[in-house]
Amino acid sequence: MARLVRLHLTSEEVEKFTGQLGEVLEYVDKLPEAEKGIKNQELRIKSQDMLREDKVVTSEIGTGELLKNAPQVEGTSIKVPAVLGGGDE
Amino acid sequence: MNNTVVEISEKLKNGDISSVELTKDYLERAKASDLNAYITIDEEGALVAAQKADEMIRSNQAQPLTGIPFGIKDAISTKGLRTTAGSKILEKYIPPFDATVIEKLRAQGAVIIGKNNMDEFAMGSSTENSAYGPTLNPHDKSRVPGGSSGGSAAAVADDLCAASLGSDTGGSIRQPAAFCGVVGFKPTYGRVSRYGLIAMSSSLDQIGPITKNVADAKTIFSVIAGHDAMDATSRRTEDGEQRTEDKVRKVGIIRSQIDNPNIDDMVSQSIKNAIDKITSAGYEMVDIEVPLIEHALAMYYIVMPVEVSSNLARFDGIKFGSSVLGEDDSQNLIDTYFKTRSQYFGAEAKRRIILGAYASSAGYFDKYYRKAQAARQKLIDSFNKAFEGVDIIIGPTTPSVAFNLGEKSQDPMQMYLCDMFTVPANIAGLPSISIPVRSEGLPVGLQITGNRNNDEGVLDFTLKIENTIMSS
Repeated sequence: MARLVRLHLTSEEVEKFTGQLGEVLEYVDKLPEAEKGIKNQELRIKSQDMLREDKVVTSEIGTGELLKNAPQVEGTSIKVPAVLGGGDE
Repeated sequence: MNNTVVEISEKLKNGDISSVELTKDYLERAKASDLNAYITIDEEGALVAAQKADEMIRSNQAQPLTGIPFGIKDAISTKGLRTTAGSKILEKYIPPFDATVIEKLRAQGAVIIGKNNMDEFAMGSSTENSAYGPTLNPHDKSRVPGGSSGGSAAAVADDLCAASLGSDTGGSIRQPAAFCGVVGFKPTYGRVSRYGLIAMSSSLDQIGPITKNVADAKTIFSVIAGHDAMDATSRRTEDGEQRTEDKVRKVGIIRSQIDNPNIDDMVSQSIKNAIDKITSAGYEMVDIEVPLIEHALAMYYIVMPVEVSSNLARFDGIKFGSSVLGEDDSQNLIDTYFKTRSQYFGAEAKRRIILGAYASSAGYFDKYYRKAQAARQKLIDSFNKAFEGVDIIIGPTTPSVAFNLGEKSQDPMQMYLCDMFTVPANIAGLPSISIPVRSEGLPVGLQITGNRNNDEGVLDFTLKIENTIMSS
């Protein structure tokens, strides 16, 4: 599971989290089934349903401002390491 | 309590003190404090804002929040001012924009003293999960201030700011307000824009005020509330079932909360006293049941981590935030993800990311997420039905008073149980406030919850009973 969410855990973390999350799962397992066979589209919370017009809104924040927080930048682009090869994964 | 928003506003308008003088006082207090209630103090920005506030006052353009010294929870984006969300992964993050609530405060001429400490990504009930060290409770420095908005509540309680904005996903405004003896208000989901709030759990998060009294909470709420096109879940009040004219007569009590064997005697005694006083003030008390409310925490610990897992996927070491990039040239893209996230997320963030990925994974989706969302809708229906019979529901905010530092930090499940009474309002999206009900010793909070969109009704009722409750 940790691999799926891109986390390396140390052996101490694995040991600690296994016990802690086991306890949490045991707790949430007590939740009774409210309604069986409910469809995916019915999982939305009705009181939160709000629709707005589907239109493009432009941002006043410039590219330069946004890139200030990027760890590695080249020109007006974010620099990314190689997708394939290298590394230890 | 001294130096409320309303009092300070009067003094500024009468010319008893200037905003610059007042801001300097608060900056000194904030810097000298040993509570660790601030992650960042913005001396320069605060003084510039104070000068503007003085100009507004001189030209008779003062608004209710002009010159008011605010602390802001560090999960709320402030343009040009570091915003860490209590995490190492945002240690150097400078937002390029203001959250909508900050824009609204600035437009009023409010002064931001600094950014308040918090549990990392608002995950916690003690502020011990902050990567910048825990905040101490001003009533007893060996105890926690609550969380996750613990820095905000401690700062307001110790007058290190006049008021603060916090955020509440499962109790993170109300629980620390209860522990620190101040007022904390979580509005109806959607009444206050979440634009610029660093997301923890998007269907539950809500920004609200932490203040010294109810009048201040009402003043601040009226400024920060309103529809915002930048938040897709923002509510248009004209669509809603807003009932500001309602007069509260019938007050609902959930017996299983008040007589709960897990709550401290000190808490249950204070709540019972408060109920007696409210009854003497002429309100009718009605025992009610809200089916499934005892399971709200279980729903919460499925829905919330699923949303956390998704929201925190953006922290990848590439676009913004701390990164291992540049440390080792041989790494490829996926190494960067793994190394950055493993190095810069704290333990609680990691636990919730893993739990959320598990509860929404193909094999367990039906067993956890689907079941929780279905139960959530049922609980909302339960509340709707309950509010047909009563105007408001009251009970304890927390099962205990502030606990000792370190007491629960190694036991997540015990920490999670601190939110058993606050979580239902988030699950159902209801407005809910905590006010102090004990004038001696460690504070206890009374929680008052109203029907969806009846924020004004909750605030007006609370305003009426506030003095009755604190009188002995």
